[in-house]
Amino acid sequence: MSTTNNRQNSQAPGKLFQFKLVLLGESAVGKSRLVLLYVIVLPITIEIILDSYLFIFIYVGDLNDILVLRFVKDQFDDYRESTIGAAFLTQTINLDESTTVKFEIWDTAGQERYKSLAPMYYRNANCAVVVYDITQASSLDKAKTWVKELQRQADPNIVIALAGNKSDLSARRAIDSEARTYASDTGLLFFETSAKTASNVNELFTSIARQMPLEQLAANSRGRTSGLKQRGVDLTNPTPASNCSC
Amino acid sequence: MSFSLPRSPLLSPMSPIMEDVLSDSNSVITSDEPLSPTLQPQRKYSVYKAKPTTQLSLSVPSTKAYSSSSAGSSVKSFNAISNLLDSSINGENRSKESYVDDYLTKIMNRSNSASSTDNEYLTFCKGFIDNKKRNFSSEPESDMSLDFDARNESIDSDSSIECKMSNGHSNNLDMPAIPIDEEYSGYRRKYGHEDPQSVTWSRHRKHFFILSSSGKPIYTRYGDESRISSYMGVIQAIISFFVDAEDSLRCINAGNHKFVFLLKGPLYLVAVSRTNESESQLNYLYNQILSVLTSTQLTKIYEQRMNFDLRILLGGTEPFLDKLANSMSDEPGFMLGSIQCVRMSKELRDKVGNILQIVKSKDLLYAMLITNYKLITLLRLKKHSLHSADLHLVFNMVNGSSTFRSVESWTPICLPKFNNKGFLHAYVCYITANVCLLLISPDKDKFFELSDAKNTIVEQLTACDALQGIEAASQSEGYSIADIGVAGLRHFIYKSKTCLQYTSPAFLASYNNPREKRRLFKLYRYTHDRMHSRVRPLKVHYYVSPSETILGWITATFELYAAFGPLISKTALTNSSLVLLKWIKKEEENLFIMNSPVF
Repeated sequence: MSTTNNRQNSQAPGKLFQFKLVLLGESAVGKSRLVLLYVIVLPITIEIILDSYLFIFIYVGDLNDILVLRFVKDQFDDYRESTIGAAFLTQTINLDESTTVKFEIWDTAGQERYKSLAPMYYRNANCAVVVYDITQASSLDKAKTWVKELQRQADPNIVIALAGNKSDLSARRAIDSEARTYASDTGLLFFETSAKTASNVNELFTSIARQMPLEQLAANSRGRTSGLKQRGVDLTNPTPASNCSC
Repeated sequence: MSFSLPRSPLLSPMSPIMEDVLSDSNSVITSDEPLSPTLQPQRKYSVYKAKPTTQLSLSVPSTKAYSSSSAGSSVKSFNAISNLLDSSINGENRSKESYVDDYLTKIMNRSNSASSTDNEYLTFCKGFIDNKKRNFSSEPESDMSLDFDARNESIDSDSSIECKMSNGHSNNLDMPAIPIDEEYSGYRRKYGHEDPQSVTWSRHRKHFFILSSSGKPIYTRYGDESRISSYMGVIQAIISFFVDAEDSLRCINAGNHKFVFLLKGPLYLVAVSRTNESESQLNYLYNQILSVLTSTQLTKIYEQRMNFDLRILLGGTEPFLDKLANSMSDEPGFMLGSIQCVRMSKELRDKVGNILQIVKSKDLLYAMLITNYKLITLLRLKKHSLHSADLHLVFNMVNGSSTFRSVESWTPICLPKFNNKGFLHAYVCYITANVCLLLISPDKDKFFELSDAKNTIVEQLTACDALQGIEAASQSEGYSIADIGVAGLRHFIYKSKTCLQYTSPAFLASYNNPREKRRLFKLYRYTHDRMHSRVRPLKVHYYVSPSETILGWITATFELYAAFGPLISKTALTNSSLVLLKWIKKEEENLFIMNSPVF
C-alpha cells in the first residue's frame, strides 16, 4: 500500500543492496504482526489525536492523508487473522549514509498445509527470521525444525535470526534461556521481540542487515533488471556489477 | 410450519433415537424427493390456477392454519419412507427397535456409553424442537412461515427446564475451554464460545455442521467443534443407519426444522435450519473446503487415516467458512447461482478491461478486479470460462480475510469447478482502498511477474483516470430504486440468464435494517424455491404477504423477483414490471458485463 514505499522517497544516494528475507515459524506466533509493525506502523512518527485516542507514531515521509494512518492503525489492530498463503512486503532502510538496504520480505503462513510451499519462499532467500512464541514451548521446537531445514536446504550463506515474540507476555513465559543458548550454539542472531510494544523489532531487522556480508556483495550486487526470476542477490553466481535501477 | 401433530413426550425408555426421528412423523425421506418447499405441506396457501402458466397463491391470514392437522398432507408428501422405517412406525416391532439401538451403540461405543449417547441425542433434538413449541404460541400472521423465527425470541420456561435437564445428563461433555490469548489470538469467532447445551446455541436459525465419515467434527457454524463431538456422533450414527440399508439420507423434517444432509465421500455436511433452505448451500461449503485442500488431497488423507482430524489442515480457514455461511443468508447470488457486477458506465468498464489486456500472458488464466462481492471486470483465457460458484469462492476468500488489505499476497487456491484436483495460484492485492486486483496463474513461481503486471496496471489505470472512476463506483452503495422511477416498486432482483449475473438496487429506506432486509430476502427465497421446484416449476408466481407483494417471473432470458407494496393491483404491478424491464434493457450494458474480454 502507499505507506509501504514511503521510505524509498527519502533514501540517500549510495549503494543499494537487496535482500530477500523470509519469515518462518509456527502459526499464531505473531509473524505477520511483527512484519507489519516493522514495515507499516513503525515508520510513522507523529502524534495525532484520532477518535480521542492518543497515538504516538513515528512517521517518516510525507503526511498525505490522515485516513491512511487511520487505515493502517485499524488494519493493524484487526490483524489477528491467519495469513493466507504468503504475503510480500518491502522495506528500505538506510544503514549509513552510503548504504541502503532493501528487504523483500516473504511473510509465510504457519499452517501445516502450506508447509510444502515453504521451499519456494526460502529457496533464494538471503536471510530468514524464524519466529517462535515465548509462551508456547512447542513453537520453539517447530522453530528448531525450520532452522534445520534452512541449514540443510536453503542457501548455505543464509543469515538466520531467531526471534522469540510476545516478550510483553513475560508473565506467561514458557521458554527462558534455552532459546538463547540454542541460538548461540547454532550461530543464529537472537532477539526477544514484541509486536505489541515494538521492543527489539527495528533492532532485529537492522542487525540482520548489518550481519549481511555487504562488502562482499558490493562486488556482486546487481539491480533489478528484467530477469525477475533472479530477483535478490545471488551469491553463488557472480556477475559484473550493473547500475542500480532504483 | 409443516408440523402440527402433538409431539410425543420423550418418555419411552426404548430407543429414543429412532422414536424421536420417527415420531416427528412421516418426515424422513431417503429417496430422490426434492428438498425445496414442496416438502412443506401447502396448507397455508390456497392455490388457484388462473392460466396454464400462471400460478397465484394467496396467503390466508388466519390462526386456523396453525391448528389444522397436517397429518394427511404430510403423509402424502412423504410416501418415500423406506420400508424399514415404515415397519418401525407401526410400532409393533420392538425387536427391530432394539436392534437399531444395539446398532447405534456399536457405532458409538468409541466414545460414549449407550445411555449417554441417547441422552445427548435427546438434548440435540430437544434443543431444536423447543423452538417449535414456542413458535406455536406466537401471534397469528399470515406471513408466518417465512418470518416465523424473527419474533418471539424470548426464552420461555419450557426451554430453560430442558436446558437444565440436559446439563445434568451430560457432564462428561464438559471440556476445558481453550484459553484464548486476547492480544495475539488468531481469528476470534463471534459465537465461538457458545455452549452447545445452551438455548442460545440451539436457537440459531441455521446451523451448519461438517464432520468426517468417521464422526470427527470438522466445523460448526456456532460454538466450538470439539465440544459438540457427541452431536457429530449422533449425526454419523443416523447417516450410517441409512448407509447400512444401502440408502442415503437427504433430509429430515422435524417440526419447523429441516435437517439436510450432503454426503461427499469422506465428508458429511449437515444443515439444520428453521429457514426452509435447500442443500445447494452445503455444496458451497463443500467447495470452500475443496478450495483449500483439493479433492485429491482430501481423498488421500482419508484413505491413509480414517480418523484424521481435518481441522489440522483447515486451520485458519474458519473465517472463510463463517463468512460463507453468513453471506449465503443475505447474498442473493448464492441462491441464483450468479454474481453481481458493479454498475458503471460501459466506457469505463471497457477501458479497464483493455488495460487488463496488457498483462495477458501464458502464465495467466484469469485477471479480475473486484470490490465487496461485486465484479468490476473479468479477463479470461478464451477457452476457460469461470463458473459462478468458483467466483463466489474467490469473492469469499478476498472478503473473508483482512490480511489481504495491506500487503501483496500469493496463495494457492483450488477452484473446484475449474479443476477440483489441483491448485491454481492467486495474486491478491488491493490497488485502492476498496478495489482488489486478482491475477490467477497455474504456475506457483510467477509471483514477481504478476506483481510487476500489477504495477503496470496501476500505472495505466492512473494515467487514464480510470482508477479514480472504479474506486468511486466501488464506494457507492449502488443505484437506488428512485433512479428507476417505477411506481410502487420497492426492491427487485433481476438475473440475466445469458450473462449469469444479477443486479439489484441498494437496500434503502425500510429495508436498510438487517432484520427487514432478511425478511425481504426470505420472501425472495421462498418465491425462488417455489418457482424452481423440481416437481412443478413455475413461470410466474404472485404472492401477497402482509407487507409486500412479491412477483416472480421467469422467462428464457431472465429471472425477475420484484417486491411491491401489499395493496398494489395486478394491472399496476404488471405495468410497473414492464417499465422496470424496459429500464434494465436500457441500462443493460452498465449493469452487466455483456462480453467478458478474453485473450
